[in-house]
Amino acid sequence: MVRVATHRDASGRAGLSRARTRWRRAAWTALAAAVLWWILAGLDALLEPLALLAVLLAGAASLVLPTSRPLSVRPLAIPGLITYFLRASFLGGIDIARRALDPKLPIAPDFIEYRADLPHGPPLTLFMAVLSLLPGTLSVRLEGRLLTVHVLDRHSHPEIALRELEKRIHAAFEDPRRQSEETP
Amino acid sequence: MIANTLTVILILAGLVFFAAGTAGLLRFPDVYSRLHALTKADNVGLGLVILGLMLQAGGPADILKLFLIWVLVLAAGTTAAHMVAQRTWTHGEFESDR
Amino acid sequence: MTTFYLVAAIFLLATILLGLIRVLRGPGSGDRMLAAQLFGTTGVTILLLLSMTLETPALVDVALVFALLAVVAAVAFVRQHGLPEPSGTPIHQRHGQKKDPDDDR
Repeated sequence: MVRVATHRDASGRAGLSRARTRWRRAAWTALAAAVLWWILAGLDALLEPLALLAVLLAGAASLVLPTSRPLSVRPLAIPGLITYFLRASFLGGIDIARRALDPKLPIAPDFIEYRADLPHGPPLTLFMAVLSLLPGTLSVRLEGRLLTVHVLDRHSHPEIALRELEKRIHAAFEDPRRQSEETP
Repeated sequence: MIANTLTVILILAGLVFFAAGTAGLLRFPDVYSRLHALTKADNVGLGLVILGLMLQAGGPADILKLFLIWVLVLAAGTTAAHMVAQRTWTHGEFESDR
Repeated sequence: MTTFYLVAAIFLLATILLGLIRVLRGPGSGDRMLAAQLFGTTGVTILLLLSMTLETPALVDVALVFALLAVVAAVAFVRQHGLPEPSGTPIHQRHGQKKDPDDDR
């Protein structure tokens, strides 16, 4: 499957590292498939010939099928992001439970607009998904980079939490734009 | 014994969140606020129940399966909430059933 | 312990029934769609608790399938009248095509 060459793999060395990336991705896919099979069917079922064939085919599929632009993730930033997410989504649940059970119903719903400075693709998708689980925010609509967010309490300064989340997602993904600026 | 007690506590805490989610669903004034209530409260409720059941699980595969369920429901919940919100935004709150 | 799981499952069933009041009353079509969300999350939890009560581990797999199908229901709702948006809404900027939308900075 020949893909359109981008400016980054003009030299052969870059092409070689690209091939290595593809093989590494295939190995990860096969590993993920094996783990998934183990979780769903148990360890005995993983040693069946059919299971091994399926795992190998899953790895091969990622080599054959056209893939999107390789995503650079900083592995070191992932645990921090997950911890932040667990804490924030738990706080989100507590916040909504408190408001829903309060006899006075302390909510002041409103829409705000937010311009996210994240690249389109997985970073922005993740941002919008996690956004809906943070305390008091719900992503409604995305146009270009302009995000319409529904907030449950307009006095609670939701922008601060959104900036924080955006900063953390920025830290977890390597921005392809910045990378190409650094290595011309 | 300690595991059983912890399981009971975690599941009871989870039930509180489910009840709060339903309360929000009934009391909040508009669709968007109700979406807030359902997604956030129910996801935390499910998370707590799953945490409680993990303590009773037979092996690492069972624990991972419960975790997988939570991740799937989380992803499904937040995606569905966004889609319903976007649909309401573009098509209005009252759609006729054509 | 078995009884506790059963009581918890029945409690969740009661919250679903209460939630159905909202689905019945509406008023908007989005409100009715909340039922899918409700069954998605609460239904999965009930199945997990029942799998402990009945000691049927297969119900955990049923819960897994439920979790996967909940999002399909939401997609079906959103797409039920086809893709075009009404003219009243702002024009949606198509992204992910040849021209990188990142250039607009």
